[in-house]
Amino acid sequence: MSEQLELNKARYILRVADTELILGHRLSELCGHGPILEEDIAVANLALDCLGHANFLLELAGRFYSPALSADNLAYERLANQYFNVLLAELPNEDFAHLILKQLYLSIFLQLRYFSWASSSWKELAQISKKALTEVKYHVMHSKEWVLRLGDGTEESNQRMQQAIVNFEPYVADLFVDHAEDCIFKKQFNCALSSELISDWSKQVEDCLSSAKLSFSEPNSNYSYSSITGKHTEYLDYILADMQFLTRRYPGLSW
Amino acid sequence: MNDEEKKLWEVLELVEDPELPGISIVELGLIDGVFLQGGTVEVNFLPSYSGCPALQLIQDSIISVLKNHGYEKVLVNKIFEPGWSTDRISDSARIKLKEMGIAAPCGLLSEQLIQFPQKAKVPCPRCESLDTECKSNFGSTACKALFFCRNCLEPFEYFKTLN
Repeated sequence: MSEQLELNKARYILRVADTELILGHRLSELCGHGPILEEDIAVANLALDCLGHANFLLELAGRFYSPALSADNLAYERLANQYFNVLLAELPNEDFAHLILKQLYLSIFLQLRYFSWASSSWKELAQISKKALTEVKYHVMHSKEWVLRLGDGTEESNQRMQQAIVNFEPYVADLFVDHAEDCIFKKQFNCALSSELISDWSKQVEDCLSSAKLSFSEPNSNYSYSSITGKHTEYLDYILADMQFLTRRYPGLSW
Repeated sequence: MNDEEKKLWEVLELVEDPELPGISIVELGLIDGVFLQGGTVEVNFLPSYSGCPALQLIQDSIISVLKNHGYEKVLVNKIFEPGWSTDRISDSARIKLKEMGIAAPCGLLSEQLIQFPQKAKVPCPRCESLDTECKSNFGSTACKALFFCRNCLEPFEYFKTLN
């Protein structure tokens, strides 16, 4: 197997692994600060699920490096410009509405992505995805219920949700941009292209937002930021400074 | 199963779930197989929840308990097929869960619990009443949901059905 193909496999998996890792970190920031106790606990559990998925995917991706890297190496020893997550995951939790809307967008996206991997011929990825799907479906349910409560809630909660929709608009098209690896693995393992996920995603999101009395507009890729350039938002360095602090301060530490 | 493998299973039954003292990982169905392969004990371990924080600790415990019983070389393989499901939890574990105040998985999928919280039909582990309701799909750990018994007015946890 050529070295380039191995690296392509790693990058392909990392796009989802890093998204789950960074999303998990952002969700964990609510721990201790949730609006109500049940949500503090729920969001912490969602974060755990994201980290669990990231862990299995990072482990798999690490095997395609020579010498092989562990999930810890990848999570704690890369710099921001070596991450492949979608930009949306990095955006801060401005308020609960932003956190919930981001959950709606990303949990539906990840569900569609895992669904396509589960039925692909890439065995290890299919196995991890099947397991992830049993957990992600609760994320989707949780997000949809909260979007409904907040959108069809008070004037303030509706207004905050609407603001989140506006703020996230430039980052939505990024989820569906095909990178080179998408095309390679579509051919090799019949994994759906990122661009093939957009119609199911839009339908689910639009249905949910309109029942929640919120208005949604189609993402316009002409006015969007995209992770395909390899550049991240300024937020990622701050996230990593927090997340990687311990391993960077004490290299080689073990419990 | 030969005598050597029987012995290995008996040793694995000594490995407890870190969050459920008194319940072994074998009773929870977390072990798919254990065998001796050229001097190394290989244990096929099924992760329950992807994000369960106890997964690493359980794997470390498997290695240290086997080492304490004289098996120096141990390899734990994380396997995803067959996927772990709550169907694998033994009857003895279900009884122990009830004694701890945790309702055992009863086949109702969590989405049914959320959509019909009034019709949960999960028996209270303390008073056994069916007049219980699901308060939250997320409890103190990823695998448990939070319930309330309207009969004895006590909260309890439900081990969510996963299959």
